[in-house]
Amino acid sequence: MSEKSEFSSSILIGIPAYNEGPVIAQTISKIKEAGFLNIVVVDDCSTDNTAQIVEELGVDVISLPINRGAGGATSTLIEIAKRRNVEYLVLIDADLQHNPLEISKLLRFKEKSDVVIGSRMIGKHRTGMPFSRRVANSIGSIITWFFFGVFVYDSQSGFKVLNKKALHSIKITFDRFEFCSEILGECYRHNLSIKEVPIGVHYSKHSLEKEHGQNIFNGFKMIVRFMLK
Amino acid sequence: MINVFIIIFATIILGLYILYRIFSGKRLHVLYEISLLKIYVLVMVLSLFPQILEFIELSVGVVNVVLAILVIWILVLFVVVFEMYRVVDFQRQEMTKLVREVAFLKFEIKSNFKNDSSKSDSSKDENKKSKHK
Repeated sequence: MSEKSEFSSSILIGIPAYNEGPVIAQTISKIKEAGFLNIVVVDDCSTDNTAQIVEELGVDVISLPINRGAGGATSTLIEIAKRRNVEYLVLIDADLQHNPLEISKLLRFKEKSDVVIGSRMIGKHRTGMPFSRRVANSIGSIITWFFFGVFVYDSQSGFKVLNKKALHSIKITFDRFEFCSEILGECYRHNLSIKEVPIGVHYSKHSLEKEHGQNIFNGFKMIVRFMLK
Repeated sequence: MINVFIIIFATIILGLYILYRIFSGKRLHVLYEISLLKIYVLVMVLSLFPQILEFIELSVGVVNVVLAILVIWILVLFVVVFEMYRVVDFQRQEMTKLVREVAFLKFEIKSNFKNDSSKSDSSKDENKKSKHK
């Protein structure tokens, strides 16, 4: 069955969302245009109308009654994928930072690797990231390597494909952005293969203005949490 | 002389704190209260019998026993903080699981409600069609 088939349930597109009302409709329509209709959104107790917009588009939305962070939302998506018994879960950010047309690019490597990461830090598009984010990301990758023994160029990427083996092996315990590094640590622990694929990146005004996004200050908080863990 | 003064001062502070816990009505878990009581008794004994400190100094070979006790106390506090962090972190993980299950249940209920209302709508339509016939 073609991965783009309307009735394919083997690939689930999972979108964790928090206050993405301005962009979520566009994100979902672009994913549908790319040919993927099996979509689920986890609304992390947004204070805007994210959940209502997603419902009106006819997409399944699971609304968490209490904000649990990006890690909490992603672990919920993994649980959904396990319960629906899908073969592959594609995680993609809600703010159109990643181009949904590149989902197919990642899926090309799904048979060869357990985890495929869309990397903003390699390839010709890496200069699309603001400098401060590139620095924060590099620090995150070094911290991830230090604490978890795995080095990837873009450890904080939210654009990933996990196969069934990865879905059943990975356990996320961090609720905030540290979960990105934890996923890599779990890959190391369970001997899962990782493949990085260069992708483009687009930072809209909405994604740059997000207060809860990743930045250098959050990176320092991440170090403290890893040390205490 | 200064060391004994520090011990007496610490004893008074600890005693006042324990009295406050008793009379404020904020009860701790019984294990914590017993631990606090043990510390209080130890500090009381050391303040009443400072010769014990001299004995410890001679036998262990520590220059200043009070400083050594302070260092040990700080280490104990570190252990307590880490233990509390572990407990809080476990509770946080359990809360995330609970929140997730609640979200799944809500979604199921909503989906079932939608299915039921669409079924009743389609059965109403069928009834209307059969009446027209």
